[in-house]
Amino acid sequence: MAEQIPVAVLIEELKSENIKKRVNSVRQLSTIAGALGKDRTRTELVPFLVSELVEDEDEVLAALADSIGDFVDLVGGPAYAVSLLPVIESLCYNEDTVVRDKTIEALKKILARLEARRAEAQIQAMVKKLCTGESYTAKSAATYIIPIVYQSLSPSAQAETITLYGLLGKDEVPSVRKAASLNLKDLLKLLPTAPENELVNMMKLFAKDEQDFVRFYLIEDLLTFARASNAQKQQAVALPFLRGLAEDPSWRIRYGICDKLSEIGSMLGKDTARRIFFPYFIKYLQDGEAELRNIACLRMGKFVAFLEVEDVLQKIIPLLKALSLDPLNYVRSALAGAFGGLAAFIGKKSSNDHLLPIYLTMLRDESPEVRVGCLASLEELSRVVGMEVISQSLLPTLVDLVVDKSFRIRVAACDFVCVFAKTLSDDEFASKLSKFVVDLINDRIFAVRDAAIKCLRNLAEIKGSIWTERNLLPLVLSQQVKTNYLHRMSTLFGLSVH
Amino acid sequence: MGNHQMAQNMAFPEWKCSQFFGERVEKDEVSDEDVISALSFDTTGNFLSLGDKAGRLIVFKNISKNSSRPEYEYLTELQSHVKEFDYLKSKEIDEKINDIQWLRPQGNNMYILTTNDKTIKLWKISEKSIKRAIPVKSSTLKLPKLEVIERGFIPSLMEVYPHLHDYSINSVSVCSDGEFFISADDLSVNLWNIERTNDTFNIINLKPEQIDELSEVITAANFHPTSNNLIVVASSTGVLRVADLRVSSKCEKTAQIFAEAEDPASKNFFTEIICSLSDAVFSANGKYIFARDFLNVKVWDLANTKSPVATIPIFEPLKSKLCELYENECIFDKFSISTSPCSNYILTGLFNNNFHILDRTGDRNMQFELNYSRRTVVKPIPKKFFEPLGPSYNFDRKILKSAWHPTQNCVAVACMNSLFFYHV
Repeated sequence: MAEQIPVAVLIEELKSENIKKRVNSVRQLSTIAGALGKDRTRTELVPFLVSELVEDEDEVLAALADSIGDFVDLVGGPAYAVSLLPVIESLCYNEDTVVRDKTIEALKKILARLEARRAEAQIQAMVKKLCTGESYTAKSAATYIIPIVYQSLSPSAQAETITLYGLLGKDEVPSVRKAASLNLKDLLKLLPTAPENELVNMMKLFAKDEQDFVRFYLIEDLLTFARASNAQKQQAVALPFLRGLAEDPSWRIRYGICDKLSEIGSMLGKDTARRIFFPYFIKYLQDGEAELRNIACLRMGKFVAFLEVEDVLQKIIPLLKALSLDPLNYVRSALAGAFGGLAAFIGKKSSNDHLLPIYLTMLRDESPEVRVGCLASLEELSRVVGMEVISQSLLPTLVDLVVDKSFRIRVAACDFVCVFAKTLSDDEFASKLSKFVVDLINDRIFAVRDAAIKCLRNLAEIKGSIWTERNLLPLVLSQQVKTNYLHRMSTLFGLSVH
Repeated sequence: MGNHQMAQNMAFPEWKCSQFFGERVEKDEVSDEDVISALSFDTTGNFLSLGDKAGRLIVFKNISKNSSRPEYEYLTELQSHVKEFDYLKSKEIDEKINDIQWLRPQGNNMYILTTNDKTIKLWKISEKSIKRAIPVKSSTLKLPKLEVIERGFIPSLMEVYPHLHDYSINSVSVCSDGEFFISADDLSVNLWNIERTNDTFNIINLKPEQIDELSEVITAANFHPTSNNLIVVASSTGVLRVADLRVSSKCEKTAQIFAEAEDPASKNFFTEIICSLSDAVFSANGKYIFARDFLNVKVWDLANTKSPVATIPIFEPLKSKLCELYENECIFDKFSISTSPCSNYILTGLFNNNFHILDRTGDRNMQFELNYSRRTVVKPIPKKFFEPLGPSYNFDRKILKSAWHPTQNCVAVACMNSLFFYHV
């Protein structure tokens, strides 16, 4: 146990030249406060913190924000918690995001203990000061604070706060508007207490903002709004905004919408999803920007739940061929991963007719990434169409992947050996694949050996103990005599699995 | 009344030399370290920063109470970059500052981005009181009492954007929204978020499949003054690219190309070298691009990608010296170009203590000559100007870096280790 540093030294080191000592003292502020007593903490220490420490380095301030949240009792309890607000306020002027996040956490702790009504005037004053000064970091911090304090205020104070928030949403500094858009969802969570009209007007403003990220955060805001509203409002208010964003000229906004298509669907209902957002989805699958094609493929599996089978057959299937030839690896890989969800949706016959040919071609894609992507949907696909058709093509693929140059591919291959195990019969598996397992256990890279051992454990579970004893145990024990110490270590790992 | 006529009717403003810092010395006496390699006004014009070959960042402040005429005084300096050794390539990394950009100031804090060949740094300079605790012997617990020792400018290194460029960084440019900046090296342009130093996003990559097929390098890149999604990229083949970040994540294929058709008749041995653009900026109103190659300033309208609206020869007598320039390698010098706040004038430097202010239409071209006696020596250069350049034409005294105040008609011009200010 480290020496207890006398409190006097701790106090002195608050202003040491050495930053490590200052941080240490600030971390132990509660000790200092305890030694000084409640009155002196309130009347001397806290003002000292406000006037002297807040010009300090970010590291010190982060420690200060951490400590100050627990100070309510140290200043005499909830009745005096208000005295801590000036520290919070000063910390809001700092531009470091870590400091700001910790300050918000500290404020939440203090507010939880505060007697709201009595402190209202001070809270109100602090918010106003932060919103109306010159400092753009203080204004950004205010957008985090306003949703937290809103419910502790009286109706008239609430109205003024909303007005202030609205002004921040129009500020000329882009980072303030960005913070306002980002935190609007927290205000929206307070509906119906928060005034709906004002918040909707703010969303209107943000939808037209020049800055991409202001519009980007609006997507999450709209989802929060929709969650809090009834169906009619969703259609009348949220939907037009979402449609506008779905057609935004900036690809990043369209990406954001595509990313959340399933959430939008759950919120607004299957009919809206199908009628209005499905056409956008089709467009995204063919968008000029690769990132958009990628996210559309990644989300395809979940989104089809909102459609009819006819939609998929008529509109999506025709696009699959072109996507399977997309010039970019990660797009093709994302497409491959979507086959599982698609197959489950359209059923065996359609999968056989439309999906299987493309899938089998992609299994032989030149990029290992794509082949790994195919294997990701293997399980679901095989459940729908049956394993036999696929397994003939799969084995050569797996053979290639197990010896691939990139270790990450080999790790992925280990996982698929297990999938195979579930579907192949015991003998087939033993003859064809056990050799691979041995190779993988002896791989050069630890990550691969590790994955192989885990694979062994899965195999043991799947195949049962008799099979394991007969087939795997000899393999593992034969490792003992291998010369490389790493191989022998793998043996130990292997045994521990049993 | 067209733009052209209006420009003619406006009298060319009268410029005077207001200040200079530095002494007249022979070239050999100038310490190489002190040579100014980067120059930038901040967003308000109240501060000016210089970078030199020794890796120092020097800040000047406007102390004039007169709002129409700024007057600058040395404020503070810091050592921004130091010489480093790249262990992987066994090469030294020079500490010379290649470019400086200011971010929006806040309160008493200034934020400056500086870069050398490989590493970009974000510096914060704050005006603070330096206090010291008065030692007190006391039996009871007492909080430290502090006394103010002095008030000064404390620099602190806020962020280091590490070695994520394969080639030498030639420019950094901050987005109008203050959240992002780009850095450009010979073959790529990367987009950074100011708060994240761990990764950067590559938006333009001109590296060919085979490195021997290399035919074009990037010489400068700048953000649009107001649109946060447009950047202009200048290349060594005289081609300008304007990339829109909203259209696609990777911009090599979707960027608009501004290039003139080559005229095979006028090609000579030097054409390839002198068509290389040394710098390109958007005009202050964002409607034009001002680009500088070795002999000309080209004014492009964003709406017309086929030909510039004006090609203005800066100083035609220089054409006669191309051989000499090739031999002393000055033909590879890179001169910067700046826009006036009204977008009607262009500033760029030259050799022989000269710099030029031209109007956008090319009708007027004024050549200024620096001197250490604060006289303003200026002469208009008419079209088709010729004068023989004698042996006294000094290629060493070149004005590579110059900058125009963001809101007023005041320019800062750097020649070797000296700094000059001119104003209207």
